[in-house]
Amino acid sequence: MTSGMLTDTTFYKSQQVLVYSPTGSFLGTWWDAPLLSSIKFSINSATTPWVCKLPRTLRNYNSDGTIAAQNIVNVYLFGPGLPSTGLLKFAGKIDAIKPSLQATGEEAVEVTVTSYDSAIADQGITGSQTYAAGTDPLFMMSQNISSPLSADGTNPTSSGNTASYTFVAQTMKSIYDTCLLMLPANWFYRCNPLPASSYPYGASVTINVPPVTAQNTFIIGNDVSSTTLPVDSTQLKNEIYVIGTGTNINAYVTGSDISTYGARIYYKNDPRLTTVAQATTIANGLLTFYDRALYRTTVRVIDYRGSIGAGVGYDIETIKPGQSCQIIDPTLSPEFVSTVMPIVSVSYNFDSIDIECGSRQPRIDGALAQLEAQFSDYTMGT
Amino acid sequence: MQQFYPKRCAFEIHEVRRVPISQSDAVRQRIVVSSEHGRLFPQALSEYFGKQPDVERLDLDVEQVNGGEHVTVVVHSHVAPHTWTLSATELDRQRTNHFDTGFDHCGMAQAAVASWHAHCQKHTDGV
Repeated sequence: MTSGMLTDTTFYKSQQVLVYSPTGSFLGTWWDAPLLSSIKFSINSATTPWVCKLPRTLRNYNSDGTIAAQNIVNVYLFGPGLPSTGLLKFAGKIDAIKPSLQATGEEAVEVTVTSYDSAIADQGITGSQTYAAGTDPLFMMSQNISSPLSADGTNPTSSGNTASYTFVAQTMKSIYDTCLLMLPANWFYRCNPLPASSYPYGASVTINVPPVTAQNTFIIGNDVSSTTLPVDSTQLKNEIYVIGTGTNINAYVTGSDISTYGARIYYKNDPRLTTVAQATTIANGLLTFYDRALYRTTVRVIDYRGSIGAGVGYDIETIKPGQSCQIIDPTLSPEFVSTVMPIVSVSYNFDSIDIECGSRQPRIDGALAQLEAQFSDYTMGT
Repeated sequence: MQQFYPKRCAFEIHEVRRVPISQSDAVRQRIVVSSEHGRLFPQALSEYFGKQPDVERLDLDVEQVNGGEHVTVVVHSHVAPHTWTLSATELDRQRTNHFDTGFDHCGMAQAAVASWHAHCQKHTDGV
């Protein structure tokens, strides 16, 4: 029997924002923090920062001594179905502090908390790192996971593919993106905040491939209200030409769908490629990545917590990017069953999430990749 | 109040058993140039055979049979190896919209598992 009070964690979901010094000493709790929202967890990318607006006066916004650059902020969730010690949903460091004063008299301080996993774009290698032929790209990735990131203990140990490559002056993200091209289709990486028991905190990196069967099934009219299911082949590329360094160091592969879509060429020049085998591996990876129609669907899923008696909703805390999902509309005859798609991003809004599912991964440098594709795109007339 | 069990993620990725697959360079290249769902065929085989505890590993290869290209799947398990064959052009069938009947990687993997079951049954019956 629930008490019906808003603080009853057997019924409602709540959050606690705990703040620590950079060395891990507990400083205090932000009781005035708004509910965690507008953060996006994605595959092949870092979590977006959390911009937290605290209603505090300009003079005394740091009266509790918690707001200082590089302090650690951990957001824990409590509620039904969650660990009694709390679920660490977001962890990061304070990177920006913006006190504001409005003409209306409103005073607030906006604190930007950057997730630990942003390290994938901030850290990397300055020299070179060579992996000989026969190396599993998974091994290359796991060798390049450095603090504050660590490998997820559930990562597979073998992908079935082998390759060789020399990484030169690259960020972790750049290394991972290259490794994804050497792995079989659909592999991804995802960063997860580590639980508090693993101080000094950080994030673990999951590297895996979404299952071909659906881990999540969303039924229209029950779990989700509506959706759109676009299929877009405007960015499809089925003819890949990769050029490396040296005489005749190149590779050319074409997809079997040239007869369907016509030839759409993509050029790639990578000076790090020094053998034909390396160029072929990257060309195959690019063909696998680009030679597919883009399915991109967004659905909003509502949390069941807070309305347990109503018997509706989904356990949104179990949904993570990189899982597989399927959308079913039973009202159609015959019922519509979508293809099984990977979840590429989860935008978190505390009581609901917006899921992007699709056949292609978003990237931090997605816009650059699109631009690069357009520059080499003679079929689109750009 | 009646107990409510909300829908949730049915299983975690690391709980999926995937059978190791060895692929020849030829079949690897053939699959890469096939189609979006053709490229997922090895993974589908790995996961569907992963549900069969007796299956230890799979070998994938491509060979020419009567002028046609065929993908062969050899299943290694507690009984004698079983070979299942598929026309390579099947892998090329594209899905251009939601309702196309292009290559179905999961359906084909299930067909391969069914064929292996029949093979095991024959072995048990001593046929």
